[in-house]
Amino acid sequence: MKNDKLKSVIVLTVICLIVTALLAVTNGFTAPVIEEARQKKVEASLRAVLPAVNSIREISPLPEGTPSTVEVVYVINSENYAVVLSTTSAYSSGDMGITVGISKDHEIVGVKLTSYFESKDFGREEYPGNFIGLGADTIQGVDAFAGVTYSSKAFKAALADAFTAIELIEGGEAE
Amino acid sequence: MKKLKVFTNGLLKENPVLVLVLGTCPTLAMSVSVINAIAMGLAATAVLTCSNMVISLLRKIIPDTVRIPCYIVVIAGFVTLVQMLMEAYLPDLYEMLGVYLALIVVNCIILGRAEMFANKHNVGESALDGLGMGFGFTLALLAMAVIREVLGNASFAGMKIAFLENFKIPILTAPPGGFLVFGCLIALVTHITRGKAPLKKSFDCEGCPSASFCRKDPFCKTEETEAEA
Repeated sequence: MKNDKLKSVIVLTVICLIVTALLAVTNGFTAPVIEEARQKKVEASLRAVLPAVNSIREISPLPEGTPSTVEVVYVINSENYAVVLSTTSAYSSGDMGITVGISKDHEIVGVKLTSYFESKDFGREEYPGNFIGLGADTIQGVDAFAGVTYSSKAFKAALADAFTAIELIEGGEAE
Repeated sequence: MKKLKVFTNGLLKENPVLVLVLGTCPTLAMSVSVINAIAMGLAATAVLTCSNMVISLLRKIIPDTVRIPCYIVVIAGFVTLVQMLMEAYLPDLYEMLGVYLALIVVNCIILGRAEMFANKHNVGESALDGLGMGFGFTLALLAMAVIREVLGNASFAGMKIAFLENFKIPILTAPPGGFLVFGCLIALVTHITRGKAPLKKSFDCEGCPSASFCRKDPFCKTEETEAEA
């Protein structure tokens, strides 16, 4: 009886270890390919949110207190901003990648959802379009997307984080 | 001959979707477009075949008490593997399948075949069963997707069919349309295979399409074995 229990534990543990090792090996050669594709997608999204891109400067390091959703902030053509965000909705654990273009007047000029797999309809064209022309104070007025409420909230919160990051950057530069 | 039967059983006679009525969730969700249906079917076939083979290989090592956790670990491993490979090398398809790719882990066709077939048969037969059931799943998805996309969206694999543009039946692309097509196809397959709906008194092994091989299982409780006990 005791031996049976021990055997069960050992077999399950060994199977878990073998599967983990197999996944680690696969991850070893797929992760760089996935990262490269993600980088290309982000670059394409920069041009989509701010079409006339002549110069790009990355702000590094980001100021202290920058929300954790903000991955990178670029200054485009020395006056506009493009913020790359990565967030998760409260409902799912999947990453939501967003690139938002913000003008020098602190208005959204373009938004692109670079990765999100929970719903096919959310975020492709119409929903991000609702935020164009809005500022930090007005984005909360946009209604959630029907059936994708949690992700809509996460989307809006991420855009608010982008404005927070820009305020922190401009505050730091003014000092 | 017997091996060929193992493969062909899954295609129609024991089709996992239209006869065993397993894997209904991905079937309804992914049968809106032909490309999605093929991609989902092939991904599930790959996972089903590989997991069937591994489970069959380990059937004498895995103790009965932990067999389900072991099967789930193996299946989840293969699904994650397919997910990683697809994200790296077929990103468009990966994006199209979305969350349903990860949900193959809980597809009851895969766990069902592991429990019903792979843990009682050798590796070769289990692989054939996986392929047969996988192709059966793909065919069912494809049949539904063709009907729903052509009649509901006037397109085939994303290509517009101009002469159907004014005769679209949009409900077919919505969930109620999915259920409608699903029901019609089950009726058609039942008619073709001359299957009979199980009578109320035979909602046990007698009424199960897998009874032919499942009854050989010593754990399967039939009226006879129970009477003997």
